[in-house]
Amino acid sequence: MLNVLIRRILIAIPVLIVVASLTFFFIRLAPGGPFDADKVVSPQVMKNLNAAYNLDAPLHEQYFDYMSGVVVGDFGPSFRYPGRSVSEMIYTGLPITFELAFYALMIAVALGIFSGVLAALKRNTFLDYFPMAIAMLGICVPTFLMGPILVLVFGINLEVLPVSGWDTLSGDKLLPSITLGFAYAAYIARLSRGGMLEVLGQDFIRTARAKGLSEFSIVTRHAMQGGLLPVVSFMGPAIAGLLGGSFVVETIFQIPGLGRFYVEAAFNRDYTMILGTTIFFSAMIIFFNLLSDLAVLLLNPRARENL
Amino acid sequence: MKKITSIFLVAILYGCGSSVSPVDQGLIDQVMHIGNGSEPQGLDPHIVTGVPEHHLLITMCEGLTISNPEGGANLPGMAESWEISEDGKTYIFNIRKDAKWSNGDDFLAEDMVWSWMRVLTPSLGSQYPDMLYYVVGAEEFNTGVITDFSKVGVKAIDAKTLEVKLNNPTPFFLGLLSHYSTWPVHKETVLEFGEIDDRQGLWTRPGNFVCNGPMNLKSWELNKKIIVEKNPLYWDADQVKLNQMHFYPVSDINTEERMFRAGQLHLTSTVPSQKCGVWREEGNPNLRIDPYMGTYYYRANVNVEPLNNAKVRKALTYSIDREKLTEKVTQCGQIPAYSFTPPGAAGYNPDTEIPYDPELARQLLSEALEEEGISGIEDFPVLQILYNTSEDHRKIALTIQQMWQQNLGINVELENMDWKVYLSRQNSMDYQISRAGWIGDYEDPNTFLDIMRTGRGNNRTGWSNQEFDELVGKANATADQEERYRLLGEAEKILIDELPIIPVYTYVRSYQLSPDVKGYSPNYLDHHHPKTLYLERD
Repeated sequence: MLNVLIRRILIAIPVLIVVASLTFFFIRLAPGGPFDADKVVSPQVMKNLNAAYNLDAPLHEQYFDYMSGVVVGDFGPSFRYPGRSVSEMIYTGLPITFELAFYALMIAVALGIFSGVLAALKRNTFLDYFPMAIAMLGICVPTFLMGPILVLVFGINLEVLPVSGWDTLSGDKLLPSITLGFAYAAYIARLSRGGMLEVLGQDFIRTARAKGLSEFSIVTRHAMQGGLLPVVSFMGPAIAGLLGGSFVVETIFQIPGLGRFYVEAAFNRDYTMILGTTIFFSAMIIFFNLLSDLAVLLLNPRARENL
Repeated sequence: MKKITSIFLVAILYGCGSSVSPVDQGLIDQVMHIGNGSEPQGLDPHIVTGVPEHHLLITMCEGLTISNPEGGANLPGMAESWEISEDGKTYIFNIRKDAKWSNGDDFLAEDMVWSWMRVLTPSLGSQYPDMLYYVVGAEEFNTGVITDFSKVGVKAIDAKTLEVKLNNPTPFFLGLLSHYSTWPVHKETVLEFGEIDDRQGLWTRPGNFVCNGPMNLKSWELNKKIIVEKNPLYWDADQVKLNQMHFYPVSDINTEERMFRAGQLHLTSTVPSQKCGVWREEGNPNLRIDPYMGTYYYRANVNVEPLNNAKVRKALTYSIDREKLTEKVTQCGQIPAYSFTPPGAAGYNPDTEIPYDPELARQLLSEALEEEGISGIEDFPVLQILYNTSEDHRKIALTIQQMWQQNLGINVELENMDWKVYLSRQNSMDYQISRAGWIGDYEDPNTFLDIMRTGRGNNRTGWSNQEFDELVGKANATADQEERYRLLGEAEKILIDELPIIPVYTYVRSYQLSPDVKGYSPNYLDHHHPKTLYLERD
């Protein structure tokens, strides 16, 4: 187990260096620079600006300058927002994105596992078809449609919840969390139904039943441990997806999270901000995948044997 | 299941249903909630550019003059009065005796001198130094030709008197002074957090920020909200009725519209274009459509064939039915444009005409074909319209494509590009026809016509006309306003005869405004001074 951990961390370092280097050079290949604006500034002003951000230095020099900063945790100043460092902006947006992802995940896990397990247990009944139909809907309806629909119903027609904001008006965290969580709940429901069905048909479950265990214990103590393994493996990418993919929900609900900075930085050619957020999200994805792999190892003895 | 759902709904109803909306609460507290487009780049008037930044800065800082909220000539700001020499080249500004910074320091003429030195310091990288290039020596200082700022034509005669010397009589100079790039910053505060040319200084943060406007910065939550509150030390504080203004950087137009509907905003930055036509028909009482000093147009790259031929450009221009386009496509009160400068602003009404005449257009095109040695319309090169990603631009481009194909029988392709790619293609003249928009920085035709002079960075058409250049140059050196407008009118005629730019429509500013907001008057530059605003329910 410790070996796996050390090995994966050692692999993560070169991966991050490659991601950072490729991003550094690729964004400079994209046409247009950070200071291109509708109102063209004079060549002298452009020269002044490039000098102020060290963009007039040779590219390799800029690269080494940047990378040596990253090693000590300095992602440089944002080009778009003078007076703001990229680290500060990540630090400001991250807790909010995390909080949103956390609530969404709680909703996704609770709703997904409950309906998935229920569907598997009541196979081919209304309690199977109905949650699975909703799950299919959740997978098919994108968040940019789900969000505004929820807002129209609860925010504008019923007037019971605020239509936007985060920590501004009471109850404003509910709709974005549901919107973001619902799509993932749908996936988790389908995964847990599939996993549970596979396990419930196996011999050890029959043995447990024959030994006279109650249905509740069979499901919670024996079936779920194996049946939910696909869900555990899905958790890593799901958390990474929730963090990186919160952009749409953050925009619809006017949430000051990191996702908005990430996407806007690309449009603005805010080089340092693109780099900082890319490196950061890459690290997050690697970290959560590692966590979910470790969780699978803990839960699944067969996976441990293959180490 | 049913029971759980009803308990859940009841809980929500009890938990949230009873709260008062921000708009209703705002009425009691005199707190105005404003949708402000996007997160401002910053709050340093010498560094930032953009409309959201301007909306914020106008509440917190004040220049020598302020825009007239009713439109028209600027009103006294930090300067209570001024004298202009007979040749129109020397201005003496008398700074208000009671003018103070928000930390209580006296506002001095010397503060203006230092501030202008800062905005012109090359290493600061200000994007608007040219607003002050009318001042003697300013351009030379900013481009590094001279390094001694005492040679620049601005100096403090005494604590409260400022003298400014201009290169030419510049009748719109007072108008320029309400642009934020010319506004003062508090020297001691700026220097406390960095050098004069420090773009990263933290002086604009809440708690550090010191300026001289009607409001002062209270809090700034990134991408969430900026709150400004009444500055009791402002010289005209008695006039300021609002206690606070809350600015929300809502980049999604539809979110902003929902926030307005739910009573979270008094004022939106814009309206979803697809709803504007419907609202106008239905008579939405909150919809406001005001004149705006901006022109939507197409640039023609005159360096490439066949657009180097003025007759081709004329044919293209005359075959656009602007009335139909604004009525059926844009649908939000836009005004068909028959000149480059929006008519009416600052009393300037260009005497130019652009007919919609497909017959004449076809004739011009066939003449052009002959001149260029093209045997027939089928050999006419395919034209490409470059535009940046936006549903509105796409709709307009599609309409114009269709009009050109129908009226002239030519082939037109559309090229949709990401904003920065579009800018870079336009800057490197890698296009044939390109969508463009120009918004005036101050209320004077010069802010439009000047960009079309030879070699101007924003010309971007490759067009050059000596007579036009001379007329605009001459107008800039003329103090007599009537004569100036005559010269600029002549220049405008040349422009509309040569058509390196194809005017499409004059912008309007469309937004939603709560009926509670009073004192919000339309003006061409969309400048709304907070001291005229207050909240009251009829």
